[in-house]
Amino acid sequence: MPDEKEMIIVNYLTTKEDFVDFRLAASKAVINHKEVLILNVLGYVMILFGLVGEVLLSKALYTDIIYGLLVLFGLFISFYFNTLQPYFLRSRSINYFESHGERMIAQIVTFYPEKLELTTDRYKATLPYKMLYQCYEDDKVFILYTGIGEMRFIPKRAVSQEDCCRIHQILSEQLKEKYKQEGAR
Amino acid sequence: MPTFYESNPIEKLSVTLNSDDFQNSYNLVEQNISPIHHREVKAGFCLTLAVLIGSSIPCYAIHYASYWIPIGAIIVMLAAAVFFYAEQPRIIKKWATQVFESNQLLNLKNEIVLYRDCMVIENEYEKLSEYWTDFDKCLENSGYFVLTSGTNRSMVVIKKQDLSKEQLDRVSVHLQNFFAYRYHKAKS
Repeated sequence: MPDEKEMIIVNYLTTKEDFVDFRLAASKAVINHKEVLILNVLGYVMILFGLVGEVLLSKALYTDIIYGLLVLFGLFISFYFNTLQPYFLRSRSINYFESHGERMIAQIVTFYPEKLELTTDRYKATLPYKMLYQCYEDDKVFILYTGIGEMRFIPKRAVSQEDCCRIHQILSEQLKEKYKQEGAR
Repeated sequence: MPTFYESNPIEKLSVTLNSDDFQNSYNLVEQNISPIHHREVKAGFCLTLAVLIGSSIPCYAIHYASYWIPIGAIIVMLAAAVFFYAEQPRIIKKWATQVFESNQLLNLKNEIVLYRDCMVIENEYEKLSEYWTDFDKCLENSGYFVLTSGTNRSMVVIKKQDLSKEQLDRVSVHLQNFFAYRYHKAKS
């Protein structure tokens, strides 16, 4: 029986906000920041080129339309990842939560130094940390991936500040390069 | 977990998946999301568009001197048809391999027990139960039963190769009865 001091027990019921935070974090976890930066720059260039073309080069209605579309498309791709995508994702997550309320059941996650236990009414797993595919942490949730597309999350609101640091320490030590952190602490 | 009312298990199965099984099951699910997701339907749609564009060339020729726009559109449609029929299933299978290799729980030996209302899956590390009503649909083809969108598992695969003839019939009948209109028998 492991020492109780070494265990961290997290017990929670998923709320709508938790679920939205989880979905947003899961989406951030797969975003490639370099690609987003390139898209943003490309968008700004398109806006600039469209505006310059519209003011200085446009001589007919069809060129007006082309430069106008260029500005619109530029606006779309430069604001998509930072503004539009989180908005759509939030809206889809709320819809999913409301239509799948029966899946949002209470969970207990217990962290030991060498393994973790996940328990719900209908699921019980004891997983050594080496079985995890990766972990992601942001300022609101921890996400534990057992594989691509298979994940469980822990909202930080259910964990004390001290336990949060201990979980962070255990996961980062055990998972090493498979552990990703963003905007946390 | 199963209740008193579910009585004895209908069937006890032992299933171990390999990468090929997972690829085939994943592809089966992707091809059967809706009728429009069948590769034959997508390729057929592109070929039909190519034929329609081709038939509009005489009309186009009345107004314009060259044919390069409709010819270009036909080439794009034919390329799309080839892509949907031949290349996309390959891409899906490649992705499925990555998913399978990323998840160490998928290649474990699973003991699956089927009850009236649910199934219980147990392996070395986990034990879970899924009610039939949790799943979106059940697909059956010549090699597998695939149940999609469970609460704890996004895809549960039962390999027919591991079942005897009697077991296969019992499982098939039980799933057909319970899934009703959510049960689909696929050809491949």
